[in-house]
Formats: sequence, structure tokens, C-alpha cells
Amino acid sequence: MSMIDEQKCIAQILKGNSDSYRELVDRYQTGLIIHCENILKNRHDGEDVAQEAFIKAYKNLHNFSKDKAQFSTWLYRIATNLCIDLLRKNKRQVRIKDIETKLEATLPTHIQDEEIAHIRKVVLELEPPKYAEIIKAYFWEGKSYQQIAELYDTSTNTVGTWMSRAKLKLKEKLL
Amino acid sequence: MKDSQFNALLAASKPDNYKSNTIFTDAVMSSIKTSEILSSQVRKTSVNKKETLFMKLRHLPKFAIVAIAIGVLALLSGTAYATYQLLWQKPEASVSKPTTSQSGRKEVSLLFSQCGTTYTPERYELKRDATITADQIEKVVKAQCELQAINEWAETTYGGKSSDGSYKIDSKSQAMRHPGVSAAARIGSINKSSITFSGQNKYNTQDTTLDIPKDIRYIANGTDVTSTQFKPGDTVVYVTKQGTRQTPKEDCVTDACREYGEYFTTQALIAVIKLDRPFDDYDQSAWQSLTELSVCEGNKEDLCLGGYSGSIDLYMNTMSQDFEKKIITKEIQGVITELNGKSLKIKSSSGSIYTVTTPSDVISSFNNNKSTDYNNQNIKIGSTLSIRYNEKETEHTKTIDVDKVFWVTVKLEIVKKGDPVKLY
Repeated sequence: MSMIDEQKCIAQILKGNSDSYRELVDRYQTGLIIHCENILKNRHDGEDVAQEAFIKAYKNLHNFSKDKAQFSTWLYRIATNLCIDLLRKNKRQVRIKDIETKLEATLPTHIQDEEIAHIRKVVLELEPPKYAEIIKAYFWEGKSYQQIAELYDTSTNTVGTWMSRAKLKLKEKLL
Repeated sequence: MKDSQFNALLAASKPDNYKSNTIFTDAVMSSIKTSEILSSQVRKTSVNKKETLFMKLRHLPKFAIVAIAIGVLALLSGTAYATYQLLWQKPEASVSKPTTSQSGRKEVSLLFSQCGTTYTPERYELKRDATITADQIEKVVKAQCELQAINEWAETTYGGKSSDGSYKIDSKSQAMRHPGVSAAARIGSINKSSITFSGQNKYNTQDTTLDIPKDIRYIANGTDVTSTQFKPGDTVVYVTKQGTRQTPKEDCVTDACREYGEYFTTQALIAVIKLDRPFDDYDQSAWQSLTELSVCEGNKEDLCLGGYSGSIDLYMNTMSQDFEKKIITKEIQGVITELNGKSLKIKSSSGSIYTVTTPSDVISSFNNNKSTDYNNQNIKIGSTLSIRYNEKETEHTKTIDVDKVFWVTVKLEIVKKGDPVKLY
């Protein structure tokens, strides 16, 4: 979805077509869940918070101003604050600077089409094919480590190891 | 490039033909079509698990918790060693004399030792509808510390992948298992083949009977013991392995139709653990009578409410993001001392006065338009607000202008589920 399409989508929602919001949820859910999981260190909590962030963003969409921020930036900011709330609720230490750094690093960037095409190509050609499969499963299909582990009948630790190796190979080819 | 940044790049490169998790999307779309929700009390519909009441108590990081205590006994016939391995360390907490906080509640400071591994707030205050008195705070907190230590131990010992053959995954279905620690219960009856637990908490008074497997563990005082030490009336918690399987309908081969599948759960007993304290000390409503106070983000001189509390959104702004200027989101909470339309003043826990300006009169808007949705509660002087605002890390202004305000909520007082909405 391009930025223009995104703004049209938001305009539709504000006109009362709430079903258009589905496109935004589809667009940003995987990245947002990964962002929340990264802060909370827990996939399930990450999904819960991401869900709540989408709901809050929808309910406050009338206050959203595209001149001030991109929708994704705003959404990630809401989710980050909800993560902080949950960390505090669960009596876990909140390091606000670390969280701000993570937010800055994980905001979805609107990269060029050519670059996207290149990343996709490199992912699909990754060897061994298993590495490509787990990258696709986690980053594109929104599967958790637990779900991937179940699919491969292995442990989440092993999935983590595969993921690290897969990303290392990707970085060598992409960066 | 940082790893998190690289992750974002990979997520952003998702091809359009890769379907997102429709269960997640459906859950969001379903929620937004319902009426207003209470923030922090929103219904959780995790797409990957069925969370039990017991699991809600377990929001804890994994860690290695084996604490070894070695007792050395010197015997007359030479030197022999008896080793005692404690499965978790005994928690301790000492409580100060209650004082009165800015919100007029009884407040205590606590000094913890061995209360699990998680960060623990140092101050608590009693809610207005508390079911306990200030004198009872210490024993309630100690009881929760013990449950927390047991939860962490169970997660460490029984969490992670398991390979129970009965949960073999086929190409279409997904299954999960996770350890669950019950709320405090009393043993109703016990024999060689089964055990019945009763009085788990005020929300679930049904007895639970579980089969006793051959390899069950009985634990008391942090060590493995035999079943002979357990009898009806004992206060315990029990650890089970809970299974959830999600099976799509016939012909469903993708994630897209998985929401029409079936769930079923199993609960297999793993361990029964005798608790140190009387049953009533573990009552969840006693624990929820306490409000945890933690340092507010970005305002280390002040305390913000945490733990089992709720809030209602009053206003949320679109914030521009400028990481270059080191602008971060801070939070301040306090009781309203003045209301003047778009401007209001709050007094924080340290006694500081903050002036907050919003683009419209959000308080009157709530009182006039939303109050009826929330048990006719009206926001007034004395109500507690939470203000999230953006500011440079190094700045500490007491005047929060309209451009800085990100999120305004009014805090709620909730002691137990089902309580009518009441402002804090």
C-alpha cells in the first residue's frame, strides 16, 4: 500500500467505512507484533498489545493528522506506550531510553519499490531453502517462533538459531 | 544497521500476495465494532493461545532460578554432607508504617528480598474499596511474592518445547502446550489416583479433580517431598501442562480459514506445591486491593499507578516524531486541582503542580457525552489523570502545552472483576 493509498484508506474510514481499516491492520500487523515482541520479550503479550494499539488508533483516528506524522509512526508510538504500561503492570523494569531507541529503529520505512523487489528476491533465493522458509514464515506470514518450531517439530531455541544464521546470510547479501 | 532495523526492513518487504494473519485482523475488526473499551482492561484475544485465569498471573520473563543451598553437617564419624536444593528462594518483604498519600490513601513502602526476579515496585497504596487494611499489606505482598517465585520456577522448569506424541502436528492444525500454575487452592480430597482442589478463588469456586500421574511431584518448603505430607485442607497451588489444539474445518488449508476451527484443551497434573501461608493471604481480591506505585516514565521524582488498574481514554493526539532532538514520551499522573475548560491543573505524587492544555475541553466532553457509558461517573476535582506528553529528555517543564500532549486518560479504581466502573 502506497502512502497515497494509505491516506485514501484513512479518509474512507473517517467517512464511516470502517471495513477499510482492515487494509491498515493487514499492512502493519506483522511488523507491529514483532516490534512489541521485541520490547516485551513475549510473543503473546506482543500480539495482545499490537491488537490493542490498532483498536486505540482506530478510535482516535479523527485526531490523526497526516501533516504531523505517518499513520505507522503514530501506531507504533501508541503501541510502544502500551508496551510500557504492560511492563509496569507486570512489575518489569522499564528502560525508557532503550525503548525509544527500539522505536526509532523499527518504525516501518517506506522503502523504494526497487529495494523491496531486491530484498524479496534475496529472501526467496536464500540457501538452504529452510532459511528462506522461516524468514517468510516470521516476517511475511506473521508466524511466531513457537508456531515455526511446531511446523518443523523442533524447539524455539533451534528456530532462533536458524533465524540468526538466516539473517546473517541475508545481511551479507543485502547490506 | 541494528538488528531491529533490519527486522523492520524484512517485515516491510512482505509481498502483497502473502496473506496476513486473518485471525488477528478479524479480532481487531470485531473489537472496533463493539462499544467503547476500557484501556488496560481490553479483552485479550491472542491468536495463538487460550489464556486461562492462572496464566494471566504469569507474565514473567524466563530465567534460571535454581537456588542451591548447601548445608554442611559435620558428623562424629568424619565429615558427611547433606545437600538441600531449594527449588526457589523464600521471598521476604518488610513494610513501613502507613502514611497518607497526595490522593488521600494509605500508602506504604516495602523492602523486598527474593520476590522473584522481576522488578518490584517499592510503594503501594490501598484502594478506596480495599478488602484489606493497611496492617494486612505485608502478608498479602509476601504471599504474592511466593506465588511469583513459584510461577517463575514452573515456567523455567516446564516451559519451552514439549514433544508429547498426542500433540503431533499435522499439516493443517496447530497445537500448543504451556505450564500453568493455579491460583491458591485447598485440597478437598486426595487418594492414590486423583486429587480434588477447591476454593481456588472468588471467581472460580468449582472444584477441580485431576488424575495423579506416576511421576507427579509433591513439593513443600521448596523441596521435593512425598505425598504423605499432603492432606485435605492444605493450602496449595498445582502445576499443570495445558494443551490447546486449533483444528481447521475440513477443506481449510490456509491460515485464512483457521478461525473456524475448534479448540480443545487438556490439563495434566505435574506438581502439587504446599504454600507457606494461610489460604486467605493468597486471595486475589486482597492483592488487587493494592495499587502499585512506580516511578513515572521521564519523571523520576513522581510515582504513577501500575499493576491492577484501569483507565479510560479522554484524548489522543497525533504526535510528530523527532528522534534527532531526543524527544521522548513522558508520563505524569496526579489528582485534578483546577478545571478551566481546555486547561487544567494536576498535583503529582511529589506535590508538584502541572498545567495541562488540551485542544478542547475533554473533561466536559466526557462528563456530558460519555459518562453514561461509564456508570455515570463524572470527572471532577480530585479525580486522577494520567498525561502522556512529548518533551526533550533533558527538559522538565511543569507546563504541558497542547502541542506536547499525546494522551490523556482518567484512572479507574478496580478491585475485582465485575466491579462497577469507578474513578480512582
